[in-house]
Order: sequence, then C-alpha cells, then structure tokens
Amino acid sequence: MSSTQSGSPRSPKLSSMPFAVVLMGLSVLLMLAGVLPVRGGGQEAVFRSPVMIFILAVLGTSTFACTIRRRISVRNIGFHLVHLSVVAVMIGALIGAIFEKKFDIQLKLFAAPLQKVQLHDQSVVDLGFGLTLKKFRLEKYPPNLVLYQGHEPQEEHRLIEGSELRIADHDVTVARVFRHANITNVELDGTPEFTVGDEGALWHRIPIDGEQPADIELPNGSRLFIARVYNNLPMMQMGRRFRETVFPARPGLILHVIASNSMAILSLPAGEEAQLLSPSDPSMAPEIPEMHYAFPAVTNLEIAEAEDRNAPFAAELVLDNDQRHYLIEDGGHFGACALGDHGVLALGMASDKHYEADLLVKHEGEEAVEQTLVINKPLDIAGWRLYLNSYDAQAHQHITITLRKDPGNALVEIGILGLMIGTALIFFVRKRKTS
Amino acid sequence: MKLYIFIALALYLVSLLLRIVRKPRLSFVTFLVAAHIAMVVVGHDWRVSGQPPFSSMHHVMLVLGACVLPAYALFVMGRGLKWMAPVFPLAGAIPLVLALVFERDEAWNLAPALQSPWFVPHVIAYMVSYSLALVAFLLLLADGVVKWRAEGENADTLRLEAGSYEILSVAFPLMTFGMLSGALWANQIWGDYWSWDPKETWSLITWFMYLVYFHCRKHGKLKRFANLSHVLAFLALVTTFLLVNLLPKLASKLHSYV
Repeated sequence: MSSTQSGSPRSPKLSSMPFAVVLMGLSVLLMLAGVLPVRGGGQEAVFRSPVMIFILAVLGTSTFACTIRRRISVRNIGFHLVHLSVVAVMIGALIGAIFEKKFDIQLKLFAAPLQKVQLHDQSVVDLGFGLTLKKFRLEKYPPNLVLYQGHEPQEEHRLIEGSELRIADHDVTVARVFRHANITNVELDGTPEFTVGDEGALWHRIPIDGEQPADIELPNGSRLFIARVYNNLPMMQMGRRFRETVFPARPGLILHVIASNSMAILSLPAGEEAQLLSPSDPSMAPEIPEMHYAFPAVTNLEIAEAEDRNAPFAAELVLDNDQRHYLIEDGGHFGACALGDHGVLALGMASDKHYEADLLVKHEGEEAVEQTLVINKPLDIAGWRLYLNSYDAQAHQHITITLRKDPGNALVEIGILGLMIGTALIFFVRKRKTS
Repeated sequence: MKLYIFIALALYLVSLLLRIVRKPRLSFVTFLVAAHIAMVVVGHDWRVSGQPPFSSMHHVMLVLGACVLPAYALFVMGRGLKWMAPVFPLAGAIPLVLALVFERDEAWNLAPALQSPWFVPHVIAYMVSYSLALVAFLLLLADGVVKWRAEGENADTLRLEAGSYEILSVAFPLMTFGMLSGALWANQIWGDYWSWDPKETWSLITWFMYLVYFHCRKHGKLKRFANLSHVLAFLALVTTFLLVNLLPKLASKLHSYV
C-alpha cells in the first residue's frame, strides 16, 4: 500500500496516496475502454496505446517513489516487497515488449532439421540448433455417450462400466466398456437395403462398407447412375475424417447420383428422406426419385479388449427392453443406437487428453539429442523456450511449436513471486501481530 | 444430485431464518449440514470424474456455495466475530441458486491446458476470495441499510464496515494469488503472462478496484470513497465471474471453460 503521508521534499506528489488512487482509476478507465465491446471491434488497441503505456509508467514510478520514501524495517518488509515487485514486473514486461522474439514453427515428421526460420517480415532467425520431429503421441479421453435429437446434442453422460443411466425415459445400462476394441463376427438382422421408387419397385442391395457403382432403370424408363456410395454419412458431410467431425457416425449414405447428364450429391440417413447436398440450388439438380435406406439391427458380434492401442473405443449398452447395442468409435453403422422417437444415442467426439512429441535437437558439431516436448511443459534449449502449441489433427503428420526468447521473463517471474509473498506478508503477518 | 443441491440451498435459507428468529444453535447446525451437503456434492463430482470439478459454471457455483464453511470457521469461530454469522448462510445460498440455474454437466473432461499444478490452487484461491468478497459485500449492504434507517453512522455501521474490511483483508491476498498464479500458468502453457483477454482484463480491473478500496481506507481524506470503491469492485467481480461467461459480447476466448 502507498504511504499515508503526502508531500515530501524528494517527491512531493508522485508518492502520495491520492495520486496513486487517481492513477489506478485512470488505468481502470483505460482497461474498460479496451474491454467493453464497441461496434467494429479493435478496442484492444487501447492496451498497447501510448496513453496506457504512459499511465502504467507513471504508476510504476509512483510505486517506486512510495517505497523509497518509507523507512526500511522488518515491519515494512511486505510493503517494500509488494511495491518493488510491481516495479520489477513492469520493467520485465517493458523489456519483453521491446526485445521479445516469439513465433510459431511447423515441424513435419522426419523432415530435414529446421535451424533457420523465416518470419513474416522476411527476416531470418537462426535458432542456433537444428530441430527434427521424430515422433508424435496423442492420447484421447474415451468419448461420452450423447443423446442426439436431429443433429442437436441433448444430454451427455460419462461411459462408466456397470453404471445405470436414465436417458429420455429409457433405462440404459453400460454393460461393458472397451478402451480398445477388437470386433469380429458381426451379424445383422437382415441386409442393408437401398430402395429407389415410391413403392419399393426397385431395390439395390449395397455392401456395408465400400462403394457400389450402379446403373438403375427407373419406372419411367429413365436411368439413374449412382457413381459412389459412402456409408459413413457425417464423415463425408463434413468432408473430414470422422474423428474430427462434430456429429457421430450413424447409418446413412452419401450418393453421387447422375441423371439426365447432371450430377447431384445426396445424403440419405437410414429411415429418413434424402437431402440434397450439392448443388446448393435445387433447380440445378437432376430430378431424383424417392429413395430409402434401411439398416438392420446388429444381432450379434464378438467384442474383446484389443492389444492394439489404435483400435477404437467401444461400449456395450443394454436398454430397458433387454436389447443390446454396441457403440463403436469410428464404427460407421455401429456408432449409434436409436431410442425410438426420443433420438439417437451415439458416442460423442473424443477430446484430447495429452500429447507430446519426441524431438531431435542437434547443436553444431555435436550428436543429436532426443528431447520430449509435452503440452503444458515448455522446454528450454539454448536460450529459447519451446511450447508444444498444436498438432495436425487430421493426419498427425506435423506439430506447431511456439518459440520464445524473452530477456524480461526472469524479472517478471521474480516480480510475480515477490508480489504474492509481499501481499501475504502485509495482510496475514501484520494482521496476526495486531490481533 | 440436483435434489441435494436444492436441499443444501433450502437448509441455508432455513439457517438464515433461524438466525433472524434468534435460534443461533439450531441455525449453526442447519448451516453446517447445508455446507456439508454442498461439499459432498462437490466431492461426488470430483470422484465420479476423477478430476477437479471446476470446469463449468455449475460446478464452480457449487464450490462457491461450499466455500462459506471455511470462511465461517475462520471469521465466526476463529476470530470470534459471531455477529457476522447471519451473513454466511445467505452467502452460501446465492451461488447455490445459480448452480441450479446453470446446466449440470456430468461428463466433462479436463482439457490439456487445464492439466497443470496451478489449476487447483488457482481456482480454490479465487473461489474462497470470491466467497469472502460476497460476504463482505453483504455486510456493506447491511451497513447501508443501517445507515439509511439510523440516518447516519453509529456503532453498528462502524462495526459492519470494520467487519467488511476484515474479510476483504483475507479475500484480497487470495485474489492476488489467484490472479498471479493464473499469469504464471498462462506463461507456462501459452508463453504469455498476460493476453488482455476479457476475463483477464476484468479480473485486473476487479483487483485494481479492491486495491483502490484499501488505499482509500488507509487515507483520511480518501476514506469517504472507500465504500464507493468497494461497490464498484464488487460489480467488477460479478462481471469477471459471471457476465464475461454469460454475455456473448464480453466472451473470453482463452477462458471458455469458466
């Protein structure tokens, strides 16, 4: 806290408490200007404006003036520590603002060592060592059980073996959970059927997985050519691998249909009507007859815990009508279980739990050394601090590392620790003495 | 679990009523049961998920509702400030009302950024300090009501103001620790102590306003502004804690979880 006295021959007003309060008030007003939303945005520029820097500089000077005015004693140690720490943080931050180097790099698996980095301003930074990505490891949480109505998630539950859940008026027991599932001998209650025509006059049987080009003659004599059939509906809808899609897999088809020399792409969820995905203007699409896709229930399958760490997560559910359902991550048709009119139970998206990368660090004239960079645990190499920032979520082929060199870092860190200890000394130690 | 939260809330309110009708012992027992139920729910959530249950507004409100027990133990039992006792059940009830309003997420996973040794001390320090700041603000409100009814200061208002100051003297260092540990944590995961994210900025505004309060309390001429700065600090705290998460225009990108 600032001194209670005001007016001194050395610094008459700078160290006075009213002046400090005014400066703090001005800082708050500037921060409000930077944080309150304005039309068009960009208000954050206030935080780096000359006015803000000036106010903070005066506040830092005032804080320093406070501490040199007060007598140094054991009783005042908290006071001095707090005020000097504030000054240390400000100076450290200023040094960082002027001299800090910080940029991101991408490292590809097994690519040549990266030593020189070209920045956006075309300048080149020599790291002083070569960096190679040797291996990347990712661990995910098991996915949760999600009740979807349409594409909207309604409820989410953790899949714990043996737990009994009440979901949409159904009792659902989580009979077994497999962190890595080995699935064999799948039996279906019938065959998946793809029907074209309003009365099922024509039908076309497709395999569970894979594509099946087909040339179908429609009742009106025209022809319909189905070029490609994908059986993992949401995967293709999002145009990405299933693991990265928002919606879980559920039975459905994506059809590339050619009729009257023009093409359309359709999605056909099991038991639902086809939806036109492309072209976006329906008038540009060929005339598509009524289609239906029926997918039978899974009557039996064998499932066991797999040795393979890349095998998918799976859960066996028992519903209140004693029906067993298997939900398998990335399992296409086994990714969901219908709850009548209440929606569909499916596995949600598995979120990241942990990731790390093995790097080869090679200094000039030395053997390459392997070091592991872990999320949340920066690595210090030759004056640079490396942070594992993100990774290529699709193919796991590259990672993004943030590199930072900040000469003010140590001062800020010392200042923060001093501020913590000093505040505790002021409020707790003195309080205890007075009480 | 919502039923247990509702019972804890009801018991806090019963405890408050019992204080009003001057049944302090019964009120104390009811308060203890309510706080323990809130703690049991927090403990249950922690056990089920295997992770600290601080990752949604619902869970944080629950923790806040349970934090009044250590605060009560410190001030009412430890420092013998028994006259403060009625405020604690109310300070426990308010966050539990909000916990019932917010959606209860039963299947959360701790994001990699949250898996840090700073996570638990940062959140606990902030929650205890916010809980105490709420108690201090309720005392300030009581002070305002007494002043208004007595048309000026008297022994009661001085006691309420001193009590409010006493509580904030514990809340502020914890708030300081919470904010600074957050800065160290951010430096560890993002390589930046401070990003001027809305949540961070509002927490700094809150901290500055409480700092102004303490400076005003220390200075003879500024003392008359102390209560005003306390009110503004508490409004900033509410913005930091609730509005930044609830109002889309104030939304925080880096603190999307809570």
